[in-house]
Amino acid sequence: MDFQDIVLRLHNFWRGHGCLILHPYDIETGAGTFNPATFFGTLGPDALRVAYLEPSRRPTDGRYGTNPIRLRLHHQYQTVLKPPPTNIQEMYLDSLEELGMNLAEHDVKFAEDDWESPTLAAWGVGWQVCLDEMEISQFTYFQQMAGITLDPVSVELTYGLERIAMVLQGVESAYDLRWNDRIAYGTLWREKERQFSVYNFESAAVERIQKMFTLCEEECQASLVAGLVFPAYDYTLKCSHLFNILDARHAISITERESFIARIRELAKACAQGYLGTGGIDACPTT
Amino acid sequence: MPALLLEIGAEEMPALDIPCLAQELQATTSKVFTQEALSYRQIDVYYTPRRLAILVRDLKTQQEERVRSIKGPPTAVAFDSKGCATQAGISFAQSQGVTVTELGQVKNGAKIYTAVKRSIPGKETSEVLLAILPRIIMDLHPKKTMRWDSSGLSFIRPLRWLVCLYDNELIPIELGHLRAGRKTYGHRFLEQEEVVLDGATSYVQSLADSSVIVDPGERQTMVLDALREQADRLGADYLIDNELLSRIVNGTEHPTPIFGSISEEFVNLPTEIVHATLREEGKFVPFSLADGTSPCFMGFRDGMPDKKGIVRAGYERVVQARLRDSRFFFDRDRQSTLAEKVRDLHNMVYDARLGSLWEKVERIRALAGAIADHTGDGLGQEVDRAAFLCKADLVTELVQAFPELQGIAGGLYARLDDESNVVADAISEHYFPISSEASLPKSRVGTIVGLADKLDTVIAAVLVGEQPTGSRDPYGIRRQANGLIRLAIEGKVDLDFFELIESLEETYLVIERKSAISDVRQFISGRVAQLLRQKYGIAPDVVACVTAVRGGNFYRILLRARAVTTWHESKDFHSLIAAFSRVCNITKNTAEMDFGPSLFKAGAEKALWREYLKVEGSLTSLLEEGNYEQGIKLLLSLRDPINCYFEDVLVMAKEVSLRQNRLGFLGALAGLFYHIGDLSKVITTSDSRETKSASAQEKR
Repeated sequence: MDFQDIVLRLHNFWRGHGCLILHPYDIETGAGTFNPATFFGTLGPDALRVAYLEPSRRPTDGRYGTNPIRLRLHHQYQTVLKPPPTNIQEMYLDSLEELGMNLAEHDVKFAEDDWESPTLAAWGVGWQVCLDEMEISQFTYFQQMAGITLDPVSVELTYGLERIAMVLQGVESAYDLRWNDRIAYGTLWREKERQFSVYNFESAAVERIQKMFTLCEEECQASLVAGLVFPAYDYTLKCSHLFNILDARHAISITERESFIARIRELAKACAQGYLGTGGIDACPTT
Repeated sequence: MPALLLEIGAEEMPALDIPCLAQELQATTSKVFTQEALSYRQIDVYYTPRRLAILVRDLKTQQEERVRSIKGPPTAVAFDSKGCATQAGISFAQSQGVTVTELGQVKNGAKIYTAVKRSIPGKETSEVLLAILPRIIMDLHPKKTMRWDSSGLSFIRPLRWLVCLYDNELIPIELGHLRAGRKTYGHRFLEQEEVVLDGATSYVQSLADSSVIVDPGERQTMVLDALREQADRLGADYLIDNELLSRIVNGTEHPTPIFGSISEEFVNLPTEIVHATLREEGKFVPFSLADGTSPCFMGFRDGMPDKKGIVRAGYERVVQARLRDSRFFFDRDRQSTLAEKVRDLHNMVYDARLGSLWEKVERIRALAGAIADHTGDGLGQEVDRAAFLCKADLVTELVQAFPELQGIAGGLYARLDDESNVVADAISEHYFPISSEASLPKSRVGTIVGLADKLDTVIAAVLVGEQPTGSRDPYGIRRQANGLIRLAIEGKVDLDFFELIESLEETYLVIERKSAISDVRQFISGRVAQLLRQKYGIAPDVVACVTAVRGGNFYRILLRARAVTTWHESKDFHSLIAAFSRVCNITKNTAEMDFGPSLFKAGAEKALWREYLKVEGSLTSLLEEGNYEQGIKLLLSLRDPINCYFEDVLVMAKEVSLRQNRLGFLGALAGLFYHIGDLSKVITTSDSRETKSASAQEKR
C-alpha cells in the first residue's frame, strides 16, 4: 500500500466512526497534539471526534537523511475521541487491519508510555503501541491540558505513518517507501531532511532566532490582551518551534531550558483560559 | 468446598507495576475475608498485563457466626458506688432488650464501659461477596491512576471486564459501569477471543487453552528456559537483570522467544553501547559470546511462534535502526575529547544551591586529592585526572540517550582519547556500588574518586538541609552514604573521614547552609551503625561500643567491631570490662590532666604504672597493623593491676595534687581502652545495668 493510500484509508476508516476529517495546521508543530483542533478541542465538556494528518517537525530528531526511521519531519495521523469509546483499543487495532496488516502474524504490544508535555502543561496516561517492537503509535488518555483537568477525558491515537508504511511495504528505510506508484519517499524528502539537519544543527542564526522567539512571545501576549485567543495560540506554536531550533543548535543551557519551557507553558495556559472564558465558541467544530 | 474466582480485566497495565498490585489484591482480600469471618484454605493470585485475578480455594459457604459488642455508658456511670444500676444503666439495658444483670463490660483505653454482646449469624458467603468484592477492588492503590469514563472510577488503566464466579455460580458484582459476568478474554489475536468460563477452578486451564498463561511464575520459567537453551547452544551468556526480566514476563500473556542477529556494520561499536541499545525500554536481551562480541539478541513476542519469520525480521529492523541512532550519538560525542567536554559542565546545574557540575567536580578534586594524600598510594596525579574527567560524560549525547551508561561512557571515551587505563577504569567505576549488593570498584583510583564523589554528595546535601526524613530522600544520600562506608571498609581505606571533612570545611564555605558539619558527621554515623548491624552482622551493643569513639575511620571501626565480637563471650573479657568500667566511671567527668610518676605513692599504683607502660608500647604497634584482637588480649594484662589498684588506692585523696595526679593517670589508662571502643557499652550476660545503658544509647 502506497504512503498516500494509507492516509486515505485512515481518513475513510475514521470518517466511518463519525470523525470529522480535518487538515494539518499550517504552522510548524512538533506533534499533532499541538494542532488547535486537539489543543482547544479537548477542553470543555462537548463531545469531539476528529481525525487529521499532521506533519510533525522535531529539529533534534534530524539525522541528515541517513537514519532509516528517525526523521526531522515525520507524518503523524491523529485521531481524538471524547469521550473515549469503551472498545477504543479494538477500534484502533481494526484500523491497522484496515491498512492491510495481518496482526496475527506480528507482535503487538501496548507498552506503558505515559505522555507529558511540559510546554503545554498537559499529561496523559497510555502506551506506545509497538509492532514487532517498533513504536508505531502513541495511545493516550489525556488527563490534563494546559493545566486544566479534563472532564470528560479524551483519547488520542497518534499513528507514526512512516513506520507503519515500512511494515506494510516491507522496506528497511523510510526513504525507500513508495509515496505513490511513481515517487519514492526519499525523492520527496531526503534532500529536505539533509538541508534542515544542517540548518537546525549547524547553521540557524542563534541570535536572530532568539529575537524571533521574543517577538512571537510579545505578539502572543498582545493578542491575549486583545482577547484574541486563536491568533495568540498561533504565536505560541511559533515560539514552541523556535525553541526546538535553539535546542537543536545547543544554544540553550540546562538552566535556561526550564525558563524557556515555562514561558511557552504560560502562553499556552493563557490561551486555554482565554478560550474557556469566552465559552469555548468555535474552537473546533464538534459532532 | 467451593472456590471463588475474581478476575479484573483491564487495558494493558504497566509491566513493572502489576506484581505489586496483584500482591496488594491478595493481601487486601485476605484481610477483608478475615474481618468478614469468611474462612478459606488459600488465596492464589494470577496476573498478566490485561488481568489481575485471585482464586480463593475451599471457601466456606457460610460466614462464621460473629459476636459484636455494643458499647454503653461507662461502668462508673451505669452503676453507682454500691453497684446498683443508675438511670443511665437501666436505659441502656432497656434499649438493648436485656436486664441490667446481663450487662457485660468492655475496656476502651483506660476506661471501662458497659456492653452487650450480640451474636450475628453468618450470612450466605455469596451474599457477603457481592458486597465486599467491589470494595476490595476499590481499595487497591496503584502508583499512578487515571480516569477514562464518567463513572468516576480511577485505576492504573481502564477497567474493561469483571468475572466473578463462586464455583459455577455467577456473583454479579458491580463497579462503575461494569457488571461481572462469566466472560473473559483469551489472547488478543486469536480468532475466538471471548472465553466463557464454566467454573472458578478451571480458570487457569481455560485461559491456557486460549493462549494466556495467567501464572507469572510459569511465564518466567518459559522466558528463562528459552534464554538458557539458546545460550547453551551458542556457548554464550545472556545479560538480563530483574527489571528487564519483569518487563518481559509481565509485559506478555504468552511469551515466545524470537532470536535475532545484529548486522556486521556494528562490529566496531563498543559492546557497552550495543547492550544499552538492546536493553532500552526493556525490549531485548543481549547475548555475549566468549570472544566478547555481541552479535545477537533475544526478544519475546506476545503470542505464538513466528513461523514465517515476520516478527524476527521486524525485531532485526528495529535493532538496526536503534544501533544506527546510537552510532550517530557516539560519532557526535567523538567530535571533541572528554577533557574538552569538561568545560560544558559549567552550563549544567547540579543543584541551584550547590552550583554547576563544574563546581561539583572541583569539590570532588579537592576531596579526592586529600584522600589520596592520606592513603599515600602515590596515585595523586591519576586521581586528579580521573576526578577532573569523571562527570564529563554527562554532557554526551550517549548518556543523555542512555542515562544508565553514565561512568561507563566516560571510561569508554577516555580510553579512546588515549587517557591512561588507570584513569579510564576509575571513571567507569566511580559510581560503584550502584546498589547495596552491587560490586565495588576494582581499582584504587576508582575507589578514591568514588569516595570523593559520594562524600561530596552527602556533605553538600546535608549542608543545604536535605537530610532524608522517613521515606523522603531526594538526593538518595542514604544509598550514597552506604556506598561511601562500604568503599572505605571493603577498600581498606585507613582514613578518618570526619577529620578529613573538618580539614576541608573551607571547600563548602560558599554554600548557604541550613545545617552544620556536625550534622554531616551525625548523619554518617547513623548510617555506619546501621550498616554494621545489617550488612556486617555486628551485635547492637558492639556497634555502640565501637562507634562511641573515633567514628570517622570506617575501616577500623569494622576491625574493632570484629575483635570485640571475637572476645564477646569470654569471661576474661567480661572481667576486663568490669575493670575498665571502674576506671571509666571515676574519670568520666574530668578533663585530661597532666600527671607524673614521682607522685605515685602506693605499691599498687606503681605496679599499674609499670604495666601501663608495657601495654602502651606494644599496643600502638599492634593496632597500627590492625590487630585489635591481640590488642584486647594485651589489655587483659591490665585487669588484675587495675583491680588491685582500686583495692589499695584512694583516688579521691584529700590532697589536691595527689588526687589530680591519680585522675590524670587513670584518664590516660582509659585512653588505652578507647583505642578499641567504649567497652562499657558491651552487654555481658551477667550485667543488666549495661543492658539498659546500651539500649538507651541505641535510641539516641
